[in-house]
Amino acid sequence: MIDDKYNELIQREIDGANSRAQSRKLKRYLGDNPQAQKFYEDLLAMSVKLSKVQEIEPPQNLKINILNSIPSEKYIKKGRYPVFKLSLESLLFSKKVRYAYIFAAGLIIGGLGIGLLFNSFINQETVGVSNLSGTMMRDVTTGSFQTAEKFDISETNVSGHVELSYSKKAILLEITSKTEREIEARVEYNGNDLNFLGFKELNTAKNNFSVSGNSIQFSCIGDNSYLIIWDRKTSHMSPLQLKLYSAGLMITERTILNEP
Amino acid sequence: MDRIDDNILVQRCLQGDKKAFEEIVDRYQKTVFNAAFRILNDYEDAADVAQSVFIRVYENLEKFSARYKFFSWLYKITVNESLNFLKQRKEIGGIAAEEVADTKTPEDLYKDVELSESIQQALMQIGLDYRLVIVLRYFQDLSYNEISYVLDTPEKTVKSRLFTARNLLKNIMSEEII
Repeated sequence: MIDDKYNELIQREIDGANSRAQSRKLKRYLGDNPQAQKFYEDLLAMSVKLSKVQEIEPPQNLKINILNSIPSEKYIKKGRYPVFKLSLESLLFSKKVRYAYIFAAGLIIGGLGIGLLFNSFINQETVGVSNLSGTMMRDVTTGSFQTAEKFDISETNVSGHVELSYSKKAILLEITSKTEREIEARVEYNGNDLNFLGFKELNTAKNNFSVSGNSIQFSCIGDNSYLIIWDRKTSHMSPLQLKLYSAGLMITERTILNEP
Repeated sequence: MDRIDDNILVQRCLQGDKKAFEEIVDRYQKTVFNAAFRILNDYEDAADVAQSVFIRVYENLEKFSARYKFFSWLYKITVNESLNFLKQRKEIGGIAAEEVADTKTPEDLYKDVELSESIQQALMQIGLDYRLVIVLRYFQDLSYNEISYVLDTPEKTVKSRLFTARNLLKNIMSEEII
């Protein structure tokens, strides 16, 4: 039987909470009491085991999910907040409703659906974001976007359209796709030049979206449109790599330049 | 690079600096997720709770008092969110936390951690109050005083629970681990 007083000293010793005097007192007690010594050693061994438990990696998309979920307008930046960034975030990230407005505006302007909304970028040499925001309230003007590259996808099980637009501050990659079975899309980029800002899809569906290193992955099925946005860290133009996989096999790979 | 103090990051957040909040997420997402996982014993649920913790943190940043350590406040929210989640899980007839111990754990996350699995199984066999103090003491490395703040419980009770929890765990684990 271990005296309550010494039981507490043992527990505190395990937690490193004893004073030197208390530790010395406990040591003497343990020396004279094999049962207490065994109890102390068992607790210590268990504590060591507990302290060795490895941390588990959270899901890769946890941070993105968190940042996309916070009410972005709760705290207003005072001072030097980059105007472009403020407008882009309010334009694209703050609320789904606003994003819907973008597409709604595109639909009204183009009258051709979301696929043609993206094509509306193509048909202009220079596409100002302001052109997309006629129904939105914005008090700042963003930089204009230009089309860098556009192409159609026509592969077994997947067809669609890809377009890359850029401004001095940002890169937008728009992908519209029509697939009969699940296709995995992977976009690789140079993290030295680009900072991933966000991912949006037109129709909410299971997309298995994740960001790993400088690679963005998501799955597509049916008709949908996706938008990926990066901040440009530098003026350097580095290419993006778009890869599409079906049932684990790569069906197409394409290098997309950031600028013509 | 010097680590910016948590309280400074909070101030920057309140001034609208989203990068500051991103830094907070970077700094604590793993810790919050792991604390939730140890309490809930479910990977997906822990991710959901971690997400809601940071949303609550962001929404309540103005209420944070700098006289407390930021991480203690964060753990307090983590524990509360985890407990709320457990309560809801029970209310909707879900699997009680104690029963989860017998179900699978994500194998891909446990390739090299059989020990971790055994400890988690043992943790799920002790009562929630005891589990919380073990999680906060061993996995979050909090002091008695900090645990007392996080759990809104007198320090004396924290010590008592911790001592009992340790004895319970020792008995459960002694056959297979120690």
